[in-house]
Amino acid sequence: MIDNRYALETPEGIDIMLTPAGIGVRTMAFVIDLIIRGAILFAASMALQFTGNMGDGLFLILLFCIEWFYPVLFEIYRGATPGKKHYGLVVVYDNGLPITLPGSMLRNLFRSIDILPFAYLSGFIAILCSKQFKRIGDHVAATMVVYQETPSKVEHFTVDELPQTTLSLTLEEQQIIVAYAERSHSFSQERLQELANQLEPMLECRGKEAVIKLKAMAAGLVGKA
Amino acid sequence: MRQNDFIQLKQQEWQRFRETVESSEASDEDDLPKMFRQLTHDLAIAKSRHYSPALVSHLNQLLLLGQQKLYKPHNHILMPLMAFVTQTFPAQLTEFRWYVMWAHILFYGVALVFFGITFFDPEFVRNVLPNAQVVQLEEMYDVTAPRFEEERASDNDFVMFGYYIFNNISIAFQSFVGGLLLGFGALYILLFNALYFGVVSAHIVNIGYQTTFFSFVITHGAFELTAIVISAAAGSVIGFSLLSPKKLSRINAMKASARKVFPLIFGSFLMLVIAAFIEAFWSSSASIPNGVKYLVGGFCWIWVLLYVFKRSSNEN
Repeated sequence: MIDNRYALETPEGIDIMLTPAGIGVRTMAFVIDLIIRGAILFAASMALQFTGNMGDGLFLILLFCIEWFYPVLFEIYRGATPGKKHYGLVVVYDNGLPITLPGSMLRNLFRSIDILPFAYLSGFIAILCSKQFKRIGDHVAATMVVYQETPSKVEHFTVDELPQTTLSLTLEEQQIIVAYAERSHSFSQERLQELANQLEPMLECRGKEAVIKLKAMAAGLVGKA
Repeated sequence: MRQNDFIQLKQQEWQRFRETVESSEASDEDDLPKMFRQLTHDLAIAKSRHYSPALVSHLNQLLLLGQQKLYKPHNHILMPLMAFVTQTFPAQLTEFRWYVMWAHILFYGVALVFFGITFFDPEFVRNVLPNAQVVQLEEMYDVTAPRFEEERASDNDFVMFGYYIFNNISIAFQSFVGGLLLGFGALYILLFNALYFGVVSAHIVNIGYQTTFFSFVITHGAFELTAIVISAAAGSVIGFSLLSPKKLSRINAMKASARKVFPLIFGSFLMLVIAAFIEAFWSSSASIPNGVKYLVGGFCWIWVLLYVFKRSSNEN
């Protein structure tokens, strides 16, 4: 199967699959964070403008803190910055464990190198050259940004009639049919029919009828009657 | 066994595992490691029997949660920092002491040479600095200026603190990245700063403003100059690993040395923050008599140099 998943072997000898986040979604997350940081700084500059020179100094310190510690604080306490959270991303170490202070400091200090020569160009190139979409900071700190999926319930699908087919299917075909039935909740009716119609020669029917027949086959395969 | 029967059989166990993982406190009743091992078996079975992708990914996500809970690294802040200051940083300084030593010799050697040149040929400063900068410099340390009479307002201190931090940290990182250019970048920054430092201090002496200048720079200089020298040494370690990668490929040698010298960079980052703090709140204060500044500054220099060059007992 062609995908960008990354197999993580645990000491128990089983592979856990992680899905690293690519350049697009990370850029979007960065933009959201940029807007949030901008809003904080704007609010601070509004509030501090009446305090004269003292305010200028406080603003500079705030700027410093936000520039360097905004990502660090969010990463060590919530796993990711709000922008990343919004897209369901989380920062982990290469071994899949949640990030801690040293790793987070490292990867964020190295932002100042990723940002070179302008607009994160070197980080961009590093991400494109890396299988796990790591920017330079991620390489140094041995971290990566992955999708965090909560364990979804295994979808139940309902069937009205029992399967009566006597087709012989390969393992791969069986898996595809089961996956089709399990994901049927997330497709529209039209899409379900469109997919089922492709199997017309095999199922000998079209449209709604074909969908029902496929689901029934899937039910038979997983042992549901 | 069909997939559904398998799910029926195991569902309650998985549910309990999830509850155990998601509850904040670990109770003794639930043996998480044992449940985790059982779950890895279940996933292995699901995979080998080619159960559906949805089931496999469900178990996969459960396992990931469990793994993160079971092997979660601690998130202490203060202790690692203390350990860094008392152990990691000195150990790295000891390991790379030849680089650190040569960086010191180069920096102060070059600074001294240019101090000498400018001292005996005052016009030399025009070759290094543009006229506007010379004038600005002279104004800054003018002994007769009235602003040295009064205390600078504390709000100004804050402004300068923010400014110094930005300034200093960019220098440290330039050295680090400069190391990637076969070390020449780091060397260039080191030598440039040495030249600048030597010429400026000689010029100040020539025009007789040394009391304001040296009382200003002595305290934070201990941290700032040493940090610049250390980060240049770190950069040249990386540069040298590219020139002479030994048994590794060049790219791997570079990666390995970058990981090794990172404590040096982080240490000089800490020193620069300290320097910025001193520079803003202590060095510029006019109410502290110069004698005290020289005393404290001298003490800082001795302490910093001892810290940097003392052989660390636990080399790791």
